[in-house]
Amino acid sequence: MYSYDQYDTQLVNERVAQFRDQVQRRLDGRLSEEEFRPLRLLNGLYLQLHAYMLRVAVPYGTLSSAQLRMLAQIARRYDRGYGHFTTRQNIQYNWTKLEDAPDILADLASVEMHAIQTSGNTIRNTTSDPYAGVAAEELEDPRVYCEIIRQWSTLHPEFTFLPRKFKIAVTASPNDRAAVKVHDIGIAIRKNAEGETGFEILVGGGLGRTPMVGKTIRDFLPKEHLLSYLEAILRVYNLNGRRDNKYKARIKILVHDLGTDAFREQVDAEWENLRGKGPELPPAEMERIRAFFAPPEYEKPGSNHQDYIEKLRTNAGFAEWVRANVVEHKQNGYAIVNISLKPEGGIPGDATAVQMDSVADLAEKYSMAEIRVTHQQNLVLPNVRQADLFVMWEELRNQGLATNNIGLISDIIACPGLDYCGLATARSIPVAQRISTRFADLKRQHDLGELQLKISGCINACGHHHVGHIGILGVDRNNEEYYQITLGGRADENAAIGKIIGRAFSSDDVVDAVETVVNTYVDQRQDDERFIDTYERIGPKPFKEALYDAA
Amino acid sequence: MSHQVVTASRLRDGRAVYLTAGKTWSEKIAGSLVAATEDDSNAMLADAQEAADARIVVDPYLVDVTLDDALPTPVTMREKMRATGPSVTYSATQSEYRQVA
Repeated sequence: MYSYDQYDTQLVNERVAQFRDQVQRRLDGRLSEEEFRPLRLLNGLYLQLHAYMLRVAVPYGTLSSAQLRMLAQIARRYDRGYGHFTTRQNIQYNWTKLEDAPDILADLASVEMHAIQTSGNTIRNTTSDPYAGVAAEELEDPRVYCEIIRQWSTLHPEFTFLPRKFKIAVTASPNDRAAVKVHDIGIAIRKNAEGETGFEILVGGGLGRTPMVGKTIRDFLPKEHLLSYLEAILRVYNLNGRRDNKYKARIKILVHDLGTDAFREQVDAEWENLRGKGPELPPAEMERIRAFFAPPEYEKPGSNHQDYIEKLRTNAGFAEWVRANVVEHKQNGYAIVNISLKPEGGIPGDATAVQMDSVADLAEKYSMAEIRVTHQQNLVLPNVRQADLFVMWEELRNQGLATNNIGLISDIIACPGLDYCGLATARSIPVAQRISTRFADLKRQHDLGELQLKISGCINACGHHHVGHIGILGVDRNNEEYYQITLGGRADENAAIGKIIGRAFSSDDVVDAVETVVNTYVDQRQDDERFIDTYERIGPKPFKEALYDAA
Repeated sequence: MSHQVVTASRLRDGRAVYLTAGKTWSEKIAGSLVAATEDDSNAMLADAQEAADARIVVDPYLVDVTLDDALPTPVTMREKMRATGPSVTYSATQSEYRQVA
C-alpha cells in the first residue's frame, strides 16, 4: 500500500488546520453561510436532509486494517455507529456535526486519510478495480497510476474550480470491474503489438440525466505521458466546458457537442504544448510509486491445503459461499474474498462499526491487513490463503457478513435516496430492501445467476440505474413515489445504457414488476444464458408484453 | 393558501428543525408554529432569517403542510421524509448504537 511521505502528511495536516479555522469562523460569525458553503464542500461536508453528511475518500478503494478501524471509531464517536460505502469506493457518514468535522478530519489524517475533493467541481477520488494487484487476468497493478493521479490532482491549482465534478477510473483487466466506460475519463491499461503496456484513454462517459458511454480518444498512450495527456484533457474541458447550465457542464456534453474527433484534435493540440515539458512522469518516480504496490511475499500452498478441498466437498454451505463470493487469485493457493454488504432485507453498502472492526481484524489475521471497497458497495479481502477460507467463513457468519449473493439479484446497488439525500425525488433503500426480501431464497437467486439490479432515487443516477441489467429510477408524481424500470444496461467492458421499458410503477407495484421481468427471463432463457444475454437476444418486447399487456 | 411551517437546518449539527411559537427551534414538526395567511408566513420567515443571521440555523424556508387534528403534515414526499425520516431502520445498528450511546 502507499504510505504518506512528508509532503502528503504536511498537506493533509495543514488542510485540517485550515478547515478547523474556517469552521470556527463560521461558528463565530466571521464567515457567512454563503462564504462557508464552498469551503465545507471542498472538504466533503454536505448539508443533507437530516444532518451534515461527511464523505471520506478511500483512495482507489484500498484500506488498511488500521484505517478501517479508524472509520469504525469515527462511526462510533461522531456518528450513529455505522457508515455507508458508496459506488465510488468512498464512505459516507450520515449524521455528523459541523462542530465535530475538524476533529473527524484530524482523526482521519492520523491514519493517512482525508475528505479533500470528495465534493465540489474538482477531480474526485480516482477509482479502480477492487481486485487490483491480485486479479489473475490483469496486466499490472492499476493502483500505481491511481496513486500518481491522486498526487497530481490533489489541490491542483488549475483544476479546483472546474465547470463540474470530474471522475476518473482505471482498470488493468480485460474484465472491467471499475466501470471505466461511464466515467469522465476511463483509463484501461493495454498491451500494444510490441508487448509494451500503456493506456487506452476514454472520455465523456457518465450517467446522470444524460447517460453516455465513453469514447476512446487514444488507443495507446505511452506511460510516461499519462499526466501531460490528462492535463491536456482537463485543460480543454476547463476552458470549453459549459458553465452556464449545470446540467450541461460535464465533459460528456462537451465531447458530444464537439464530436469525438474534434475533441481529440483539441486535446492533441494542447498536448503538443505540454508533452515533454508539462507534468511528465520520470521513470524513477514511477518506480518509486510502484514499489509501494509490490506484491507481498506469498507462501506456497501448505499441507493443510487438502483440508480446504475436503471442506469444499463436505460442507455445502461453505461450498456455496466459495462459489458465489470467492474469486480466483493470481497466486496459486490464495483467494480473493468478497464480503457482501447486502444481507437479506438490509441497506446496500451500510456497515456497522462492529462489522468494520471485525472485517479489519479478519483482514489482519487472514489478508495481510488489507481491505478493498468495491463500486458495488461491498468489501473485499484480497489476499486470503485458501487454507484459511473455512475458518474465515465461520467468523464472517458470526458477524452476519457471509451472505453468498455476490453478483446476484439481491446484490443491489442503491443510492441513499430520499431517506437521506436532499436531491432525491423518491426513496431507494426501501425498494432495495423489499426486492432483497422478495428474492431471499438463495437457491432461486443462484438459479437466476448474474443479475445486476441498480436503484437511483433521482435522475442524478448515483445508484447507476442506467447501467443495471435491471435499473430502477424513483420519480415523484404529485407527491407520490413512482419507479421507472430500464432494462439492458451494463457497466462492464461492453457498457450499455438501459432502455426504459414503459410507464412507471407505483411503489406498491414495483417489486411485482421486477418479478415479472425476472420470470420472463426464466421463461425465455436458453441454456446458460444470463439475464443480460437473454435480453440482448430477444430485446424488450417480451418483457414489455409481460409487464403491460395483461393489465 | 395552504398552511405553512418554517424549517431550517441547525448550524452546529445540521439537524432539520422547525420554528416554534416561542421563536425557538424544535426537531419535531409537531411543535412548529403554523401560518394560515401570507402575512403570517412572511412574519415567520423574517423571524427565521433573524435566527439565520444569529447563526442558529441555516437556509430557512417555508413548507406547505396540511393539518390533521392540528398536527402539521408536509405535502411533499421530500418534506415528509425530512420531518419523519429516515423511513428505514439503519441496519441492525440502531439497537447496537443505542447500547453504545
